[in-house]
Amino acid sequence: MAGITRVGAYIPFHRLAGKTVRAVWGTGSPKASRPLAGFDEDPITMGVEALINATGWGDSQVDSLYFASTSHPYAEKSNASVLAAAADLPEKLFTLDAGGSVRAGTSALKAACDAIEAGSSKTAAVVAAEKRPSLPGSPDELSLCDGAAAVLLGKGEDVAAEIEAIYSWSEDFIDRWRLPGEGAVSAGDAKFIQDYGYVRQSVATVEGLLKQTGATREDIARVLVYAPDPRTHAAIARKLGFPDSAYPEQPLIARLGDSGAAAPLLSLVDALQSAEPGEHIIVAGHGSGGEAILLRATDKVHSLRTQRGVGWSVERARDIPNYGQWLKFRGLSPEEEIKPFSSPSILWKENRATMRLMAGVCRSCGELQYPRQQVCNACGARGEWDERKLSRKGKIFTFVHDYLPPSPEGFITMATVELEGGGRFYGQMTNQVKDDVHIGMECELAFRLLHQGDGYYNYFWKLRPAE
Amino acid sequence: MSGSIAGKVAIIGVGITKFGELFEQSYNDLVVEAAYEAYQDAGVSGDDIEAAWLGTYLPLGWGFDGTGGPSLAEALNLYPKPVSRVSNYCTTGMEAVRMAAMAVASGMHDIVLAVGAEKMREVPPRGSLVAQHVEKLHPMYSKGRTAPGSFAVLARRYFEEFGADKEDLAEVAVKNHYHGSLNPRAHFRKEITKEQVLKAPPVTEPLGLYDCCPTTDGAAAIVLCRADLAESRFDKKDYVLIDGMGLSCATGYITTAFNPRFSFIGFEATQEAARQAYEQSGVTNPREEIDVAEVHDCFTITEILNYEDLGFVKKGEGPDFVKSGASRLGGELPVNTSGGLKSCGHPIGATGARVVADLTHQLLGRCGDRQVKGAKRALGHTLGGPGAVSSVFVLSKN
Repeated sequence: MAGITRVGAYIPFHRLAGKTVRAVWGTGSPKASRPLAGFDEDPITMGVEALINATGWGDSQVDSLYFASTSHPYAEKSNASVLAAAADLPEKLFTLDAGGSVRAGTSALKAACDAIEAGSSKTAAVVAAEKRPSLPGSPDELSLCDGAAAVLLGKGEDVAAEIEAIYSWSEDFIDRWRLPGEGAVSAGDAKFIQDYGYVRQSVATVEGLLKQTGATREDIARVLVYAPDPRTHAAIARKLGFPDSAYPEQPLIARLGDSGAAAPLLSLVDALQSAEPGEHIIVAGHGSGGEAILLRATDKVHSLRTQRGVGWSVERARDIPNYGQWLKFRGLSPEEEIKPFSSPSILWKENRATMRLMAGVCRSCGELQYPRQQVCNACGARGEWDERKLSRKGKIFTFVHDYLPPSPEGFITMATVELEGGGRFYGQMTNQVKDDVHIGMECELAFRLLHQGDGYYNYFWKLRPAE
Repeated sequence: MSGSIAGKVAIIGVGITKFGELFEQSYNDLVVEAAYEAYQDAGVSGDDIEAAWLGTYLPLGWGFDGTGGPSLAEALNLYPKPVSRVSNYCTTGMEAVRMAAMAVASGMHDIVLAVGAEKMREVPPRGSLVAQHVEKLHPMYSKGRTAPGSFAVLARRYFEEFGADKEDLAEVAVKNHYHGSLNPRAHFRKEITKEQVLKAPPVTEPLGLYDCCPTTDGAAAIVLCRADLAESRFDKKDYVLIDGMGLSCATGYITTAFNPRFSFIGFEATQEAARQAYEQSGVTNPREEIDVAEVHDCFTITEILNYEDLGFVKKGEGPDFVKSGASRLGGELPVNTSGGLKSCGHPIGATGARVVADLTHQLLGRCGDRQVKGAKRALGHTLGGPGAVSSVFVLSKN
């Protein structure tokens, strides 16, 4: 049976606090706290974070990649291919961008599972990531959130959670929607979409699975359902009628917010990281019908606990200092127009160096050089290089807080880091707390959006404190 | 085998425009003003000039002037003579002089002109060097780097290794502003206090506003001739000889900060350019043998590193050198008596030519209140890229 072998999650470092919103608009729960993508993050960068948390740094055997989101950065042009390059997946790879519904995460999981079962894929990666749009001052500002989750699927002894059954159904239904180009999600009558949408449909989804499998409510240790807010989650839970112990004490919708297509996979990753062998788990995706997936944790399930999940991110979270910075992060405040140079042919030619971080090791003298030249800058030999991926971690050799370049934070920290295993990386820091940065600080490379030079997304690596 | 320039080339005339925000003057106005002052100083006319070199760093950054030799030929009506433009980061002006000197030394020409010019103040807001780094260069590598930022990382590392601090850097700013206050052509002519420097807003921490040179317009010109013709053909009794000149490219422009061998506490390019110039000129103890120096103080930290890289003091002793007053007017080796880049200003292509012109004035005793008495031997230094390339000249009075 196909199953989950590895997991990863990523919740952004930055949080918008209810009190920050309330200070400006006078509304919103002062207790609310919503993780949101930084100005240098989008579903692609967050997806890469989650995917690397699942695969590790390089040397992955993934042969199919499913990337689910309702907020793919590119409307035309593969998004998954960016993830594949940044996570250094093999070039022989099937990729699919799945979107159009907050159900896309579980739909992609089903498609990947079917591919494993059919034998067309040996190791599949399913990534779901969202950067959810909301209007300043709207209720969505403190209920939607950003984040990403990734699971790897395969067969055999590495499986930590077997996928025992999947039930899908479809019903054309308008609850929440967004047209292309719109900066916010619209919703139908609140009472109607809760009762006839989220509650009725989720119950039908989960009961469909129980009926299909013959399982009873007593067989299920954990039930994870999608809901746009904690109140709706409680209503679904009541109607479903599982014992209270089957539902998370604090569902992610209450802890984080509504992360759309990423939500079911985030809940699943979080649950698997505390699951015990033998537990049965149901995770359900919602949207014009639904998907319910029945999993059984194997005796390998504890192996998932060491991977970076929701907890890792939540511990590091920091509130955005003020509402103005949030507007800048989101591009909702007009900015000086900047036109950085870029070129599709440069991005293509240098892809292995810039995206996969491949350095050269000189065959004559052993010097590791990044970015590598044609002629070795140490010994002068021409064109004799072995490729070696830069290691992810290192220590700051020197750095500067620079107030000159335009940045939503008012400054950019540039650092040179001596990497473990050789070479230096020089670049922008991200998620750093300014006064904590010091020579010797441990950092790791994190995939980020640099700018939109030439009209498309220019991604590269930044340095994130790893202490 | 590398040869020597010593004794082959004379500087017989120099010209420097006022440095500053010259909104009323065009690029060509600056070139003409500097060149004609140099002609007059040399006692020659444009007709005597056989060939010329123009140093302008980045014309397309802020205008079209200076993209090639014709920019200089047009401004000075040097048609149809050989005129070329050179660009080598912040050593550009010095490189124009070096090219001109080599043309004379080779026997190709008897008398030539070198002009350095940069018009940096005709740009939109956030123009000049910041825009160069933000909007140009590689789409990814080093994105976020700025000129002051790429020197601030050396300050940070230097502080770490030698225990120096911002107060040490402030000493350089205070000294060079004092020198600049005595130089009628300097961009800034006001003395500043250490307290002002330390309280200034941060630009690229740990560098503050007064640790940084300004963005300046200006030009400088040098007339060079065969040393044996200075007196016999051009009637010069007092002139300046090039004793040595070195140039070194020691690391890349974008890749410096990725380079595992880059120390961040000094510049190999400066050390190597100085070695070449010292070897040609026979200088073995620069602190003793040099009477006055103009060095590349684009940022205060750079001047401290230069003292060490040029061999005035050992590594780590730069802060004490400036604090002791040794590099101040009246000290044992006055440095940047023009005010330096810090106070005189730094029109990139002009700077290297301005350094040679200023030192010529010093060696010929023309500097008034800021004259270093009895100066016989001078050192000029520029550094660019940042730290990728350096040029060093040793000059003496005939």
